[in-house]
Amino acid sequence: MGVEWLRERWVLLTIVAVVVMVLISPLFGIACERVGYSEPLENVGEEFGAEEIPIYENPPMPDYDVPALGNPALGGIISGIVGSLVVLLLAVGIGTLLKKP
Amino acid sequence: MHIPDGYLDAWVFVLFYVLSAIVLFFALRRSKDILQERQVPLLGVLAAAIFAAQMLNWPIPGGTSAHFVGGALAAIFLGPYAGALAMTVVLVIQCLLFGDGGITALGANVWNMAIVDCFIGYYVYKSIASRVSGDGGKIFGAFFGGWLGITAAAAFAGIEIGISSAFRYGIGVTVPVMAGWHAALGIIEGVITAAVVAYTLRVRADLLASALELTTATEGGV
Repeated sequence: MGVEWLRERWVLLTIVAVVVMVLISPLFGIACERVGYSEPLENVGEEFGAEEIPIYENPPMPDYDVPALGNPALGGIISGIVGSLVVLLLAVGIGTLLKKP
Repeated sequence: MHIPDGYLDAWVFVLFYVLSAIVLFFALRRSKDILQERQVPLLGVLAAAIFAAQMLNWPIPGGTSAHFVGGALAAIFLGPYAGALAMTVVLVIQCLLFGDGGITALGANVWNMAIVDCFIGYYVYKSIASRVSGDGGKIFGAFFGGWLGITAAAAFAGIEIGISSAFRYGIGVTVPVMAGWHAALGIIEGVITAAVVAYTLRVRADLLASALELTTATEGGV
């Protein structure tokens, strides 16, 4: 399968949407910190006495950041671009292996 | 809703690794039979879009936040089998590259957000869309599929943490709390799912694979 599909209108539109979501994601992070960011599961964990036990402590981009940059917003954007690309390639790869001949 | 390491007892995370592996095995086999070449770009692009959408944490007044999960949406476009595979790709990358969701809890997170959300979301969507004719049925179906899919996923998260000993309370408390929170937050999930389906119906209805499946089903096909 070639890559002509990358030129299809709906694909381009969705890629634009992905780029926009990634670029604005740091704003959401800031907004969540303002209200005391935590998800229901984390609140439940805290309330009921459960503690996170980190086992996998050094993922390449921990918490969607590139710590070496010292800039969480830029780190978040880079994480978003890298993550979206890796997900796209992996899913297309799996789909290519599975599709009907 | 990504469960971190430390929340689940070993027997619980092993059990959900096994359950998820069994379902994914069938999802791979089934996708091999039904996935069409034209759906491969959709699988990739949709998975990437769901990954990006999950990066947006919406602040909720009162000190909580939520993000779109997208399992129902993936299943409405791709069917529940390929949808579950798309969501699994997202969850595996989030876990390995970003440490979002624990390594030990990955099986449970796949079970909740890739399997339960996709299958519940899809069958709620399908049962409404096949009873209510026209685009309205599909849009309503997408809303309820998105909403109930994420609520069921949260209920399972409640079960997994409730039966684990790290939590002082059992499932009698954790399930209602998790499901209750996500039943409220899930309305946003339903609205986004319905909005994407409504827009797609208007511009590229052919991308909704399950829409084709519904048509053949009502025409007496299998």
